[in-house]
Amino acid sequence: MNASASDSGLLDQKRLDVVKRQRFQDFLFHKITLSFSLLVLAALAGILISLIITAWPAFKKFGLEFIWRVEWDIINEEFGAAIAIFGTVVSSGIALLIAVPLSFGIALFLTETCPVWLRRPLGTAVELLAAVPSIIYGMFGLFIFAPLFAEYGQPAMQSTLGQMPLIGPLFGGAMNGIGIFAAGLILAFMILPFIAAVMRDVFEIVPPILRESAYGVGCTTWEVVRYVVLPYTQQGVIGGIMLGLGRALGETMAVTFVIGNSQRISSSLFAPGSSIASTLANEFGEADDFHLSTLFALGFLLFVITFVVLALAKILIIRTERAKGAKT
Amino acid sequence: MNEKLYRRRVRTNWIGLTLSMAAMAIGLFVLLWILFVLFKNGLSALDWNMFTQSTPRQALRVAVWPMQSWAV
Amino acid sequence: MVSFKKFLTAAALAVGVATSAQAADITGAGATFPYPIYAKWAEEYKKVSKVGLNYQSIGSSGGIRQIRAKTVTFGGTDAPLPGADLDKDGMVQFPTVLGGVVPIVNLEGFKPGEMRLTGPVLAEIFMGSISKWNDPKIAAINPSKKLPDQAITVVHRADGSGTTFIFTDYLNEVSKAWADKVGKGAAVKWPAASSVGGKGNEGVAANVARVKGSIGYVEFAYAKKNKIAHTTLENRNGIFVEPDDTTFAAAAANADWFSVPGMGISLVNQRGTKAWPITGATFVLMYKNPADKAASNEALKFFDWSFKNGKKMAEELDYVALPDSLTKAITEKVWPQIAR
Repeated sequence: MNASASDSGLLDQKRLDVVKRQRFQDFLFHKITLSFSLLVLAALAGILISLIITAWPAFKKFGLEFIWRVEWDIINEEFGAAIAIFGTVVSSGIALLIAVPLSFGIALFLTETCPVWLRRPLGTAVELLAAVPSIIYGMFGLFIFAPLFAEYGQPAMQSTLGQMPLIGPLFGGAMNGIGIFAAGLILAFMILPFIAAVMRDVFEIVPPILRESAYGVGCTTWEVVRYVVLPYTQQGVIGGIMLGLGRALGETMAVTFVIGNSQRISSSLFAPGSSIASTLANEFGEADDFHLSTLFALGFLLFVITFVVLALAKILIIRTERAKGAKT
Repeated sequence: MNEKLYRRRVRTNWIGLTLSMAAMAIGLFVLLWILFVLFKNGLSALDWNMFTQSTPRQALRVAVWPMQSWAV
Repeated sequence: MVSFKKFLTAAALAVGVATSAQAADITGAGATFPYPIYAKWAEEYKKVSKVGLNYQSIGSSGGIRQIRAKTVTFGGTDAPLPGADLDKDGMVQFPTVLGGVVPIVNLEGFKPGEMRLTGPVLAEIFMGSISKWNDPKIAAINPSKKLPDQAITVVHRADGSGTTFIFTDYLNEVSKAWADKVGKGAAVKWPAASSVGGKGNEGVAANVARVKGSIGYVEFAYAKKNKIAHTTLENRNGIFVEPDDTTFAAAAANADWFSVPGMGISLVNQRGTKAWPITGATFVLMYKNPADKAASNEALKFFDWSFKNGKKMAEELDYVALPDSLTKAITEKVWPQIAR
């Protein structure tokens, strides 16, 4: 009895030790992971602060109208961000318009109608392309795609879309295979595998029960995709599209090769232009102090644009979730 | 009535699937084309010397002329 | 008791440290134009002296920034600094090698050297006042060839560059309209409506090769190596000359290098029957009182060796080496200003 009493006393002590150790390990684990997350936030804040500090002279000189000023004169130090913002937004917009339907088609094919033996190799090919460095797309665009586009693609577009009343002038002008539209196309090719891979992964996660029961009550393939798969995977699809858009907004080398690097805004999409990233890539090496601060200001604006886009995506997701009743 | 509804659903299905398949065809064609060009030119330019010798930077030549012969 | 793992790590570290001990390298940064020849000279120099060169071709402005920040031993720039800046920074400047900038075109039926242009016409093309190839002004200088009714696409440098500096310097000299409207610089506001920018000399060459009916400007080596059609230009004496090392050297022959403090003279539009109108030199910047005298001395030894032994290498890469009289003058007048 005495033994059992002292035994249980010893046991309690051991248990207490183990619990104390585990509590300590938990505490350590929490604090370490917390510090890593805070490190990420600190890095973000650091980047933002250093951007603003270096860009300050430019903002001080031009004020808020820097954002919509159409001017880029290095010798006389007159700068405006409108040209670069226009190029970035328009080329990314075109890229998204083209890439989303195409990747949707690929994802649908890979999950619904593809023969099973072909699924793995094709899926791997798509993922391989998502991993290819983006400068390859730029080189492909300039050396292989641009001449073909100038020879066949652009005349075809100009004679069909270029003749329509409202959007006609968008496709006018010289056709040399490079320009904002070409940049948008190359960007589309670049984000295509990425969005397709995300969509495919997300489509595959739909529980087979949901799909099969839809087929069971007689839905056609299209109805299954539209009314069962898409609503279930909405968040993932929008997330994938937004990530692709983020990549397109910041893409540097692929765009620099094909956008034409001309500091002007033209009425035609076939004309050359500039994006924020391409301006930075081209002019950073040779920029002196004030020019450098203007480039940093452009970088800061790109940060803001990307943030706004991601915030809009988040709002969109929350709103649809609320409509579905999942969130209140 | 049932027949009309059924036919409409089948047609919607057919349109949706055809558009998606067309999109898929275009997308996959472009992607496979890029992969093909990448492998064709990359493998043909692969040379044992690239790994064993320290080739002086040939910035002038490498940039343009090999790529002119790449046009597929 | 030392565990085997710890022993292995210690041994690896020791070996690593031992093999990394070698003679210090010379560091430089700047213009992209001379990088190929600097690299070649450095490779050969290392074989005889065991001293290597680490040159970062980040562009002329980058080179000037780095040497001012004293992070490198010498800076490379195609656009020379004026004497006042050199005095303020306490630096000397001397040329190392010459090259020429040539206009290149992509026109059906025009082989290298067949298209003839004059300075004023070239300026008008790049200003956008002449926008088609069959414009009467171009036809007047090329009576024997039929020019197509094609729009001209102007290709320029998207990044800041010494090549642009030399080219716009020339346009400034031959066209008052250009001087008033645009000016000269490493990066200018290109007025032509249909204009495209390429990154680096490679980018301009690639764009001209890809776009039919385009005209651009590159260092001669890029046009020659990539077999892109260059044009001939009418020089100051009224003769249409081809670009090659004899015409580049002819442009530099009459130059009075010491007429400007810092030797930063302009070689464009020089007199001489054989002179190529758009010739330029690339310069090196070094401190008169360097913080690291040993490194500075090593750099001077490298340039001395390259001046004496590097002529053939320069020719092979289509640069024009400085004539002996000039290198002697540099060694006697400029280098003594650098504290040893």
